[in-house]
Amino acid sequence: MKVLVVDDSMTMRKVVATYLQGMGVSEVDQAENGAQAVEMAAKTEYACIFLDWNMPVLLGIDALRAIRASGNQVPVVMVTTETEKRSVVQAIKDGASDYLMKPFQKDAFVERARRHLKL
Amino acid sequence: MTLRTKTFAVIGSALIALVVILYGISQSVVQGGFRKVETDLAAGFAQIENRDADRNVQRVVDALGFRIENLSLKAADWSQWDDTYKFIVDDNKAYRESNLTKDALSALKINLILLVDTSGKVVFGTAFDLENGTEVAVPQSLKAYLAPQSLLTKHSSPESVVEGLLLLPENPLMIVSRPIVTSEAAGPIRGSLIFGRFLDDAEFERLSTITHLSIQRHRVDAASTPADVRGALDEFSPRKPILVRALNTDTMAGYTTVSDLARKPALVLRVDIPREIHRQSVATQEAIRSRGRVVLASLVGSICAAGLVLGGLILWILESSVLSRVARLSTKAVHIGASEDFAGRVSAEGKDEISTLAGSINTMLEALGASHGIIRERNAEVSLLMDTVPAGLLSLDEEFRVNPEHSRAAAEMLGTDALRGRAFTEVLGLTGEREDKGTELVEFLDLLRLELVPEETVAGLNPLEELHFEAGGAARWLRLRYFLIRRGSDLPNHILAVLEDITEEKRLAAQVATSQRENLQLRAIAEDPDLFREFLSETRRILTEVEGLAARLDATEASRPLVAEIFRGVHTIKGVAGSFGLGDLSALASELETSLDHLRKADEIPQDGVDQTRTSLAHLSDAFSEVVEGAKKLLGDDVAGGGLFLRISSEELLRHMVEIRSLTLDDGVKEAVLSRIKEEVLRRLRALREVPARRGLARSLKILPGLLERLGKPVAFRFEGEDTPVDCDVVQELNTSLIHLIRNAVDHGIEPADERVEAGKPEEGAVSLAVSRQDGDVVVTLADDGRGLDPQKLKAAALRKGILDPAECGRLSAEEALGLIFRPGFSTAEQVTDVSGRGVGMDAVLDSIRQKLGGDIRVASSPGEGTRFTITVPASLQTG
Repeated sequence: MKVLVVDDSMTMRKVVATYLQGMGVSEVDQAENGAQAVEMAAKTEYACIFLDWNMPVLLGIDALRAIRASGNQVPVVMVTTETEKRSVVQAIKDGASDYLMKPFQKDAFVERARRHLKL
Repeated sequence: MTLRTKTFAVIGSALIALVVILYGISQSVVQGGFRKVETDLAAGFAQIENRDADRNVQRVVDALGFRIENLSLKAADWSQWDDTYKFIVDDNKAYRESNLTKDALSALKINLILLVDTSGKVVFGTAFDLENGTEVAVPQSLKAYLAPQSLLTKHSSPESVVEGLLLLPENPLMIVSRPIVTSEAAGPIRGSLIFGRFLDDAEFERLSTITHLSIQRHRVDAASTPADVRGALDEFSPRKPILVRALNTDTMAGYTTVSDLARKPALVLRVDIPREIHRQSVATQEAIRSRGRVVLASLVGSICAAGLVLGGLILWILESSVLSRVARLSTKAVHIGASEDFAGRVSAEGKDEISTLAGSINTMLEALGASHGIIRERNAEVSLLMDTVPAGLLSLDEEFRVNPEHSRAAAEMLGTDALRGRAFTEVLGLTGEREDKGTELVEFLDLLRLELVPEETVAGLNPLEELHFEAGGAARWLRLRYFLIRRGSDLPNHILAVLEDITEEKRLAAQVATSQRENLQLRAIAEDPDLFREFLSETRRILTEVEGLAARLDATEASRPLVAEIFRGVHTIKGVAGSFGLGDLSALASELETSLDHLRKADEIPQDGVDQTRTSLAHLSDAFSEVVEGAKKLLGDDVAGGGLFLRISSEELLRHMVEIRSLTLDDGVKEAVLSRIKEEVLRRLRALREVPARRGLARSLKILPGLLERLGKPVAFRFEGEDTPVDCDVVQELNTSLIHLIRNAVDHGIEPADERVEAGKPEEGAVSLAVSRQDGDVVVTLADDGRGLDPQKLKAAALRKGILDPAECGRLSAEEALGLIFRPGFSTAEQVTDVSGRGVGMDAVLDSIRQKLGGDIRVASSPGEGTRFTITVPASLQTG
């Protein structure tokens, strides 16, 4: 099972990767911006993508639209902050599967990840 | 369209169609018949007319023949006479004088008389002008016909007669030639007697009079003949000697030819005949036609009348036996439907399909009434249920308008019963300035309705969980939650909005928060009233000081150090007030601190900034006075008056008193004893000033829980030597520095959890404080296992800030580099947080420990592993 974590903060990526590994996800790919994410999602079949909202090069929401536009129906969890609540509404309409508000506790993340990875 | 209208329309159009078809048929039959009669008649009339014209022409021909014959008879009288027979051979005078006189000859009404003997010699010949009664010359053109054995003189037998027409250049001439024989008509023939009569205008006049016809004559050899005559001439044939032509509606022309003696056509006669028969034919046809119209009209009239009568009859039957009954039935049923009076019944008299239908309707009404009753009962139950629920319930349609049914509580909360059909955002007052919020709510509701993701997931995105709502003069807080109403696959989802009045809840929460704060404050006070008194007196002192400074502020550059000084004071108040749970005071101080920070960093100090500072300071002072008043009630004394209060155990005092009272003196050692006593008393008094480190450092420790909560970092705190006695003044001064150090350790030293995980450290940070006595010194150590200090980074920062020149930088050892943090103006915190503030630096700490306590502070650190501060101060401030 492969999961893609997209975030411009390396720390954030590592934390999420650690959590995922703790859940038994063997392969966690990382991307540091939306453009990379779109590219990787096109090449590899992921079980789930955790997509940060605010990133350089390509915003998370635009990456999501690009992924969906390519016909890829992989579950995408938008990782956002409280202030982007309204945009999340739009993101879900654009095809996001779920969202996770930062800062989040490990338990909240694990619960969310379990749901989408069907673990 | 009602049944009645439809029936009328159908029957009406059927009748019209019937009438039209019948009309069509009768017209073709009747008119066809009449037309046949008409054409037959016309043909008959035409035949009659032609025959009549033929006859008329024949009459003219006959009349002409008659004239010639008349001439021939006259000639016979003269030719078959012995006198003439004698005269032709002897030319006797007597015959001439008795018969051939001018009067005798003119009485014959002929134009010509010739007596020719067999040799062709004209014995007697003369011509007359009948009009003038004079003798004229015989026309020369006639001479050619008088030769022996010519047409006029050749007679084969005594009965021979030559008669006919000669077309002389002057006029056509009727001519008769008879053989001259005896009175007994015996021969031999002695010559020919010829009579001639010009066929002139007068002659034709006579013909017209006799025949009552208008006759025209045309010579065949004429230079010009009319077109119709020429046409007729071409058409004549032995079988068709007479031609008839209709010239116009009034006149008919008959043509025929008259031949000369040589049987060649000489004249064409045209007889004009008035078309009386034709006129009669036309009049008859017209009469027939009008008769036909009358017949047709009366036929159509009777068909229409029959149709109307038939239609009326059908309608009357339908109306009386079906339509009016159905209409009555329908009216009644509609009335029942509209009034929802399902107890009502319909009726229809008689025994047929309609009365059966009425029966069925009644049965249905009965069933309907029963189920309606059940529905009403259910509705009432549901209404009651909805109205009993304390929450406001209302459902929204796919366009987020309020559906008719809602609970009474909803109407109460929203202050109106008129909710039906209104846009939900409008009901909530999310219009005008708040329209954006309304749009956001609609976007959210839309997402919920679309069911793209689980309902619980969407619930977290509710943009308006709580709403301050004013209606009908009452303001309240509403909690709004939304749930999906699935109405089946082919209907759009609706949304259930649940409104809760949380005004009371909010008020209670606010109260709880206030009392929690008060509680915190009370606990702080109860735990250490001295500490609280101390806080109050220190705050009063700082406030007085900064107010004094503020009074000197103006909009000049000279104010800049004053602003910095005021900032420092306010910063202290903020931190300490926070640790005593005095949130309002802390918030005010924080606000002021922020504006002061802007002020001290501004390029120029503006006057309104100065005024603002004074006003805010006054507010802060007022708030502080309130705190003091509150504390007075609790502590019952002049709490902020300054000075230090000590709590001494009465047992201990008693013990000291007992011990002092039991002291005895030896004379010889009086001085020494006195000195020893002094020493002992001082020691004991000093001991009285000492408090356990735990208590003395309470102020420093107090900040920890709040600090950890705000930063959200898991940190384990350890305190060693908490019972170590420390002089109360010393420990007090130590607090100032220690608070600072603890804040720094937790805020900047300990990394955020994720960073620690990444660095392979336990998620929970560790901070330890140790207090111990070492040879008359108090040693305080504060250590953390955080990120530590990087000498290189410190050097770089110092260089950047101009605290260090490059030469000096090179000389500094790693350990010495750590000491840079104590230099004025140096701060390692890149980020400003409300915890560590904005550069109340380590220089103040160093200053406090060195100058006020006569001690020293050292720092040891390795990057990534942590930092350790060691403070060594004399146990007592007094040298004694």
